[in-house]
Amino acid sequence: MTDEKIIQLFFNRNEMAIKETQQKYGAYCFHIANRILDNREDSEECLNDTWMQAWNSIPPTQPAHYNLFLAKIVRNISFNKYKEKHSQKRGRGEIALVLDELAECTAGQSDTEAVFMAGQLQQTINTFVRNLPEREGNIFIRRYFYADSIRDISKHYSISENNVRVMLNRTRNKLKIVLKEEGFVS
Amino acid sequence: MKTEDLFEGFATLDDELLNRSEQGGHTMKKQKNLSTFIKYGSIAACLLVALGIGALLLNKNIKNTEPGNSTVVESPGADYPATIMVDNQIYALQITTTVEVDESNILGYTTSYTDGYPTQNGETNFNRTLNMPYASVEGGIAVYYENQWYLCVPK
Repeated sequence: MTDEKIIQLFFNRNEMAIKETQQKYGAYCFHIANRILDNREDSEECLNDTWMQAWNSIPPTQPAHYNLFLAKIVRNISFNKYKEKHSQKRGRGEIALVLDELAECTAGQSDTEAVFMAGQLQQTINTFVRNLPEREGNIFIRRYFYADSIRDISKHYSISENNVRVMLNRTRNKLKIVLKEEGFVS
Repeated sequence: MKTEDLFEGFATLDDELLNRSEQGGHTMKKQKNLSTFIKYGSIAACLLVALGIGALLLNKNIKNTEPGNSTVVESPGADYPATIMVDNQIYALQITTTVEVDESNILGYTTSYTDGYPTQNGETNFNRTLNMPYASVEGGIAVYYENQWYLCVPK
């Protein structure tokens, strides 16, 4: 079924919308959740929450890209669950590596927490990724939005794992500079 | 700022960027194939150049004067040095020495070719093409080959 038809089912408040979404995007969303949670049960639970949030959001929301709309929801829900479960210490799996890498960008005295504004940071990241060369930007997104493993990225883009690591490292350094310039880190 | 904040900062990336990253792999694979083609194409081209140079060096002393017909053996690298027999004397071709020849000094024309040392007058072992003129010059004889007179000294 096309995305448009699924969305129409949501608008008609037809519960088939969820069934169709599960069928079409279940594996896609599970992949994102499981990268973050590294736990089948938790991931499946997040999927159910995702369908529920979609049900509650549509209408009025009419997503232009339904898969990305779901990706964002499942990523947020999964990461919230991750934080809930690992409030004391860092968990394991791909997300732990992803966060360790990102920690390089936030290293330094954190004097901006008081003025931190999520919206501004999101805007900065959007602009930063948009200004990257396409390949670099795509790989950066695969790693830090989808939390894809280095191996998966390497296969997806047909480049060596070492190339991926080098490229990510270079891009993180660029991001760190931007975050400093924008005052998010000192 | 916490690392988690940064991770969450990616949450609202534009759909266009996310979509691009989902599609990007296929495009980039093509680029990879192209770069692979360029990479291996370059290697192949280098090999061809190297082979060409090698062939030139190997055949430095073997030159075709007539397609599919004649070969001149000129150098010490061959089995026999390039020689010609005139008046029952074997003369060695000096490929680096060209001389001026008065046509009135022409003694004759090559009449045969051999793979070994010449055994009869007018015979060479360096050019299957016959009728090359040879003439007497100071220090030996000269043979007219590829539009030049080359000195040949008694061996």
